[in-house]
Amino acid sequence: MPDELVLECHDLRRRFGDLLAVDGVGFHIAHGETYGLLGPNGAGKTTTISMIAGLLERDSGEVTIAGQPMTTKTVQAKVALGYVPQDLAIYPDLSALENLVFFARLYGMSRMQARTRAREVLEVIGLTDRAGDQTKTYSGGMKRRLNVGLGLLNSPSLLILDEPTAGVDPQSRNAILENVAGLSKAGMAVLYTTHYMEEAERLCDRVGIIDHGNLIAEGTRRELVGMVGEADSVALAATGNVAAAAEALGTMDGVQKVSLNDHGLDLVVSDAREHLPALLAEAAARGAAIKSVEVTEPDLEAVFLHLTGRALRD
Amino acid sequence: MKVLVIAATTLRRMLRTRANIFFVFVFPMLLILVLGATFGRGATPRLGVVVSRPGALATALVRQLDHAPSLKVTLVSSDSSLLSQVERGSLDAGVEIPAGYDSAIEAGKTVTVRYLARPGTAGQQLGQAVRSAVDSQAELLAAARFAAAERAAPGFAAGLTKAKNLVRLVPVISVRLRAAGKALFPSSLG
Amino acid sequence: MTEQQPAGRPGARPSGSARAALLIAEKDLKARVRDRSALIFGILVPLGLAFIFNLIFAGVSGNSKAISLGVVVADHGQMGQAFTAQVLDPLRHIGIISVRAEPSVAAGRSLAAKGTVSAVIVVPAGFTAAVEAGGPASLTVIESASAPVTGEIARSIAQGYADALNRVRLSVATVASGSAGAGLSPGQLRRIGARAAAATVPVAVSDISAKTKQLDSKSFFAAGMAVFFLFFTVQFGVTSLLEERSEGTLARLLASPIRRGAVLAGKLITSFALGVFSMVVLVIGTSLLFGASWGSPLGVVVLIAAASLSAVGIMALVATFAKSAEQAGNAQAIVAVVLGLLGGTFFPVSLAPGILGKLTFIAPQAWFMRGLGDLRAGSLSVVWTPALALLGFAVVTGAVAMLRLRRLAEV
Repeated sequence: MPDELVLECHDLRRRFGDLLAVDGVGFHIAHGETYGLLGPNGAGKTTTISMIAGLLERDSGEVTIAGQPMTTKTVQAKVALGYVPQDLAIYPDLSALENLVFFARLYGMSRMQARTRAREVLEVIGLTDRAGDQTKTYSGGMKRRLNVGLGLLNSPSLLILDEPTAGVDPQSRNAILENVAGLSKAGMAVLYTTHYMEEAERLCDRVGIIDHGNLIAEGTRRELVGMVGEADSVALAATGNVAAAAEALGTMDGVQKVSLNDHGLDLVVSDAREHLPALLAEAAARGAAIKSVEVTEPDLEAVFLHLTGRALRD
Repeated sequence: MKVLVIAATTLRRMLRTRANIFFVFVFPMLLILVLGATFGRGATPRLGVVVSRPGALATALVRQLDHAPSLKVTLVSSDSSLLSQVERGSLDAGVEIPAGYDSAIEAGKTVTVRYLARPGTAGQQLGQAVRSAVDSQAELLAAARFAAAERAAPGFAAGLTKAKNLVRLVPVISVRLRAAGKALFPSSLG
Repeated sequence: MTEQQPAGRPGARPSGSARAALLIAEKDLKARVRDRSALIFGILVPLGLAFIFNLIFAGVSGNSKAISLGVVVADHGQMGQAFTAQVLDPLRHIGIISVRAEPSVAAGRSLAAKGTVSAVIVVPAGFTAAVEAGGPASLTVIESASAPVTGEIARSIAQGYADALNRVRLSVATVASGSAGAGLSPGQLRRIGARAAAATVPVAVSDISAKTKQLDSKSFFAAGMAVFFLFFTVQFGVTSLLEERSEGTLARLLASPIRRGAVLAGKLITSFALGVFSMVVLVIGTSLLFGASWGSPLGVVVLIAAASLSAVGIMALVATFAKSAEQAGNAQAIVAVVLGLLGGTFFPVSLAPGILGKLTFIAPQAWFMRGLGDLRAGSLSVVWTPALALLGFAVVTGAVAMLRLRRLAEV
């Protein structure tokens, strides 16, 4: 296995009774890469994650983390792994500090080392002043932040976050996303599952789209979008001889659709990035004065819709 | 009407939890069952008797004890066995008749019969029954000795026969029992 | 971070199972101590119940203070006086009874009815005359219904006197009956009577109250409540495993570099520690507060440890059959109550005649009570049998529970 890969898994399969929850999922994550697992509720994201983290027995497949094989019984591979589950996994009767120290010590740290590390993490997640209060007194957002903090204790090579912003208020949500982005920039590999397209687009270097236990598409955002061949929407606010410009643009390379409106022109262009300079030049040549350009690239929701015929969010 | 509906629904929900069925219905029954079986007066109290190589008089004492309607006599082999059986509860009380009972009585001495029981009403009542049996015997034996001493009979054995004949005829001084007041707990609670 | 990160932080490594188990136990105990209901149910309630039961039932198993008796001497002859002087007074001087003389039977009866005295002994008018005439006579004992035990003692005092009189009467009769007696003068009769009265009693009964192994009431209730609640205190450990699963923290534990067995071991250690601790507190508490006596401390500790192990095993096994923490709690409560009842923690079921007296030993509580009872009377070595029996319970139930728990510890 190449050295730069932090996670390598293939052929993951798991059945629950009649239901085949995960059917042959496999992907890899390199150092410093943020990989998003995007799919609707029930797609098999959490089951896949659980198998990767060594929480759930696999029916088949292999998982290797930082060169160590991972099973439910192995212990070595878990050292490099940070885990932030979807459901809050914090002890309500203990304070944030006590929670952190306890789990830090499970990672082999002495009491002193654990306390030092706990304080570092508290700083990062912004809970230093409430550190001594029992977590049952925390707001939902604070609990979520602690949940993430617990996953960072062992400075993992791979941090797994399972829908960390589900049901979270916008302020905390933003904080979490910024934190993850920061970690990623610092070089941590992140496996991030979500059903929110905006998060996947914002954070992830690569995205795997999962549905009904299958990984139906994978790649960078551009690759995915390109796979499907969706075109960009270009909205030109223009004055002057807009009609003439419209006619001319309609015949140009890459332009799929042109429509006039009160403010200017709406175009559907394949690969706007490439064609936009030529289009703008042509429009100007025809006598339209372009006031503003808005390019809306196709998004992952559109990709999902195209691939499955269903919406990402229900 | 609404009150009834609320009550009925509450009851139905309560009965759905198996633990509730146990604690509300089964457990009280169990408690009464075990309580009754432990302290109920179904069985006759068991009296253990230790007697080694009994002579005629000792045998007569044991038979007297056995005749008491309020207890059942079991012969036990040794003092230590009697002690542990009484303490553990397999016997309700115990009596130790010393060796040489017959000869000591005929020689005019006082023989001490030892009685042991657990503290409580049952022990007291059994003790009373044992004392009655012993006193019935003591009465005859004392009379036999006295008759022999006063030369009203040729010897102890003859005196004993005379006493046995007379005891049916002599009027008895007895104790009458009355009760007053109300009990806090029924007496069978031991 | 600059270059390639090493796997995990320097200093982060797997934790050995023993260390992990102890860390988990420490965490659980810390959380448990903060839980007020643990304090209430583990310590305050058993103490309170032991105290209350003792107050109610203390009179039942005989206390040795002086029994108060009333006496009514309606008789004008010497028998009545003789009864008071020769029978009651000696007993009064030893301190077994206290006596108050009442003027009439009615006064005596009302005293007994109120419970002021345990019983009233009546020497009726004409008693002496009846006895000297050689005819039937009787004493009356009015027992107070509220003091059945001590009332019996009054009866035996009266009966003892009557028996002595009967004995003299029969002895005299052997000499003075029939033809031989016809020629005797009253003076001669009286002298015969005096000699008969002076003759040595052939048989006497001596009550050597057993140094009984069965616990006195204070210690009984203290021990009973302690071991009854033990089976509730230890439930926390395994139930918390189910709770962690539903709360989600079990997942985090399993994602940590520790073996699954360590999680189970940690929970069981917690249960055991809580059980032992609560019982020790109860032992000390009941000794200090109510004067319950427990016997040799080392023996008590051995029994407590063995009983706690058996409780952990049994409650763990019960919990493995439940699907949620709530179900587990219900099932465990039922089993704990049934075993506690059968094992004689509420009242001594071992005294029951027949099969029930044997059946009680299906419950580990019965072995604990038996061990304590034996310990009070005997030496330290008596605890080995009950301790081994308790360990047997622990090993068997624990083994089965472990097998089933392995499946439970999967998310």
